[in-house]
Amino acid sequence: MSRLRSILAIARTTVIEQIRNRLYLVILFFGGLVLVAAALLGALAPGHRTRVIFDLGLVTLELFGLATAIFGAVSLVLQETESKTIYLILTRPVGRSTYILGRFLGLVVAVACTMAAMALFHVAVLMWDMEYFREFTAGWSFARIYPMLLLMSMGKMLITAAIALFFSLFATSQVSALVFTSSFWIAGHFGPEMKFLIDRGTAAGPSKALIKSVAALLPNFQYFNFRDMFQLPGFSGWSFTGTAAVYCLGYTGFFLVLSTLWFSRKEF
Amino acid sequence: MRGSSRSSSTRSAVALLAVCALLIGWADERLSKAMTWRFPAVNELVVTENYLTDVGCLLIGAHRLAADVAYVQFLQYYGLSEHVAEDEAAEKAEVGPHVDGPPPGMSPDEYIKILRTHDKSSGIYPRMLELSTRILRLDPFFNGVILEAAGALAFNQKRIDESLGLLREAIVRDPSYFRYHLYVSSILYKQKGNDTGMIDLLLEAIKYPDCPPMFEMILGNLLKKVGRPLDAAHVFLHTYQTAHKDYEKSDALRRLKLVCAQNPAVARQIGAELPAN
Repeated sequence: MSRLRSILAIARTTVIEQIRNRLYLVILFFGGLVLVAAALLGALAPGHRTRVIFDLGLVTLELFGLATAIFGAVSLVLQETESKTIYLILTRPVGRSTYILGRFLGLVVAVACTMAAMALFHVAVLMWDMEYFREFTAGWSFARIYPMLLLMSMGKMLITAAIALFFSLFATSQVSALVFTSSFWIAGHFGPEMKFLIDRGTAAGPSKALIKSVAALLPNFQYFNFRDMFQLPGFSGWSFTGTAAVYCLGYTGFFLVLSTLWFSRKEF
Repeated sequence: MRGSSRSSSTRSAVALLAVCALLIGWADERLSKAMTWRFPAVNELVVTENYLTDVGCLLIGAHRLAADVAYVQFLQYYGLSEHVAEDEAAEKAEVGPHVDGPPPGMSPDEYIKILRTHDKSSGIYPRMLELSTRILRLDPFFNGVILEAAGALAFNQKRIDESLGLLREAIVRDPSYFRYHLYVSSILYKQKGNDTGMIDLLLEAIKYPDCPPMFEMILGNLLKKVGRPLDAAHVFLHTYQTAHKDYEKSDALRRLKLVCAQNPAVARQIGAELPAN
């Protein structure tokens, strides 16, 4: 119980720190700016105006959420280690795993707040012209699908934040941790291509084994890419969300345990 | 003492890692079976000067957005400037005694037809097939745009083989979208000069809200040609009321007014619905 209280206290401090962070505010501001730009781009595609605003808005939301998550995760422990303020916490009766979990939870809440704020703005931009909006949403339920798309983007954020936290623990600088995490993010979107190479590709022997092991290590972010798939014929999104949540928790848990394991052995 | 607690925490961490790995394996197995990836692979993309934009979007898993950007670029290539020029010229022709209006003895209808043929001769847009295939390969489910491009190729550019090729690939990539077949049939009727067959299919096609206004215009013209001006007027009126692009609205209105001017009976029947401007 006291451990849970410690985790929540650290998480609370992290959320406050993140929201006070100038970088966080800049990211939020630019997210809003891009959403407004989406409306301008939409005007260039008269027949599919709302679709363009919808798609660009969702991608913006995800990218700016990702930026918040990566920058936040990378600077969480690294900054405190460099400024030695980490001693103030670790000299108290707080376990290292408690510290990592609290930090991570706080970061996730801060990212969720960013995404929720941008989502509200996005919906307002979408609904600006109700006639176009109604036409765009004919045949599918916006109220049912939109939260699902946000949840899936959030799933990507969780995994990415856990990976970023893990890299930040052994990286020598924020830049290298950023590069490692971004590479994971990009490679994670090529899951189907890797599966294709394994199943039907001409690669054999060691190269096939290498591709298989890389594919097993990398999270497949296309499982969360509902914003590209929600209108495909026969796609029933909500039936996959449970399994996708298990996948997300599995990966997040895996990298968090690795981070705690690494952090508990770290000498300061 | 400290060493034993550390090894026990390591053991529990390893056990947790194993549980997570099992969860990942189980969920991955289920998701890969349930979700078949239906977007073309990166090596199938059409290589244009915007290839880096396309790949950049795919790197962040944004197929739909990549197709949206490609569509905007397609419109910039085909569309606005030519249509505006065409509208202005056609309006001048319709208004009547203008410096560069129709020459004496030529009806406004004939004049518009000549302008259109001149403006949209094949070869003005040599990259139309390439740019529409680019959209198709980025998002094969952007059906309305594929229909628009195929229609423009077949009916405006008279490049029927290219249009049928585009639709054939679209059908392979999204077989469930049956309207592609409808459009293929109507293009084939056009090729054979079978106006009645084409009218029946287009009447079916325009029932759907995603039918491009261009098809409605073609249908309206055909109805006029086969002596059904009232039906033509209804089609033009519908296009005027539902089209989003200004040039499509004004084109529909112009054609509607022309039909009404040429057929007083139609004007009487449709008069109440005729827009004031």
